[in-house]
Amino acid sequence: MNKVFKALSDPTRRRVLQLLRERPMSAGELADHFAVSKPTMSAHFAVLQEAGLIESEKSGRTVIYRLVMSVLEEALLGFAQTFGWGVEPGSATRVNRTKAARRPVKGEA
Amino acid sequence: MVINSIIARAAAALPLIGIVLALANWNARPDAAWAWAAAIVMFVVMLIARHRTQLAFRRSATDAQWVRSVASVAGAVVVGALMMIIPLALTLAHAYGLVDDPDSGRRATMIIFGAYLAATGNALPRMLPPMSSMACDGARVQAFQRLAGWTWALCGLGFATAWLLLPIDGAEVVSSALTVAAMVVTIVQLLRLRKPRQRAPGLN
Repeated sequence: MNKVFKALSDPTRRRVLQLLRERPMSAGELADHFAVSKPTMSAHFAVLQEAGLIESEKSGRTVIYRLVMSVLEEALLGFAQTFGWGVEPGSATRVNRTKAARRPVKGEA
Repeated sequence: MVINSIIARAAAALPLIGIVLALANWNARPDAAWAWAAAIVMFVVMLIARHRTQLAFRRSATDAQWVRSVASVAGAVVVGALMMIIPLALTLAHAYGLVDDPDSGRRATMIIFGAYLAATGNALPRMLPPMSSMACDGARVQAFQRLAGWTWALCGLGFATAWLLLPIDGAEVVSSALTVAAMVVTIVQLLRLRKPRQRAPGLN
């Protein structure tokens, strides 16, 4: 549950979850909605996957992400959105940014 | 892993506890012998189902799908056994004058059933099939499972709350209405899934 709270504490990750509520999307499509680097997006996807809120499936050379949230987790997302849990967008720590920069961009051909 | 181990032990112990409780009830109220006999038969079926799954698992223990199947059978046995054990215990307590309300057993069964519906609804949006195996587009399947999940989770919570707080007559009406409404919503959404497949943009 700690991982879920950590994942929901970031507004960018919450926005990713909101986008995935509409339909499954590729990594590139999701990244287009944000003004952050692709490695940073990869780091966000990794946190969400680790929390079990999204899952990925390879389709050709593209990775498609989709939502796998339980009703309780979705209710928590609603609370997090309403009460604005966690840090402001774009205030990722230097450690997170460094970790993200080391990772390859997942799902990008 | 620890939870799986607890569930496996509970799945072995609870049906046995249930058989003992059914026999004690039989002794206290021999007029309802058929009911206690039926309960014993159901507990025996649970024990056999669990035993057969364990045997099959030992033959293919490395298969991850088998591990999940064994865990789900054990979980079902635990839920089923609890749904019967708690009312049996309350009926026995009533027979010995420890509980005043003669409907406490039925109430407990319904509350557990409501909680089970809510838990199943909660997990429903996570049970997505692989996208490649879907007969219609992923967005619609996801939307259906999310709606069905919310519907059954709320129905289960309402069901359990009704049996917890309302008089028996009121609880029967409210819980039946909630269940029928949830079934209608699910069936209507399921029928809408039968429309021809439309590919979501960006999906191969």
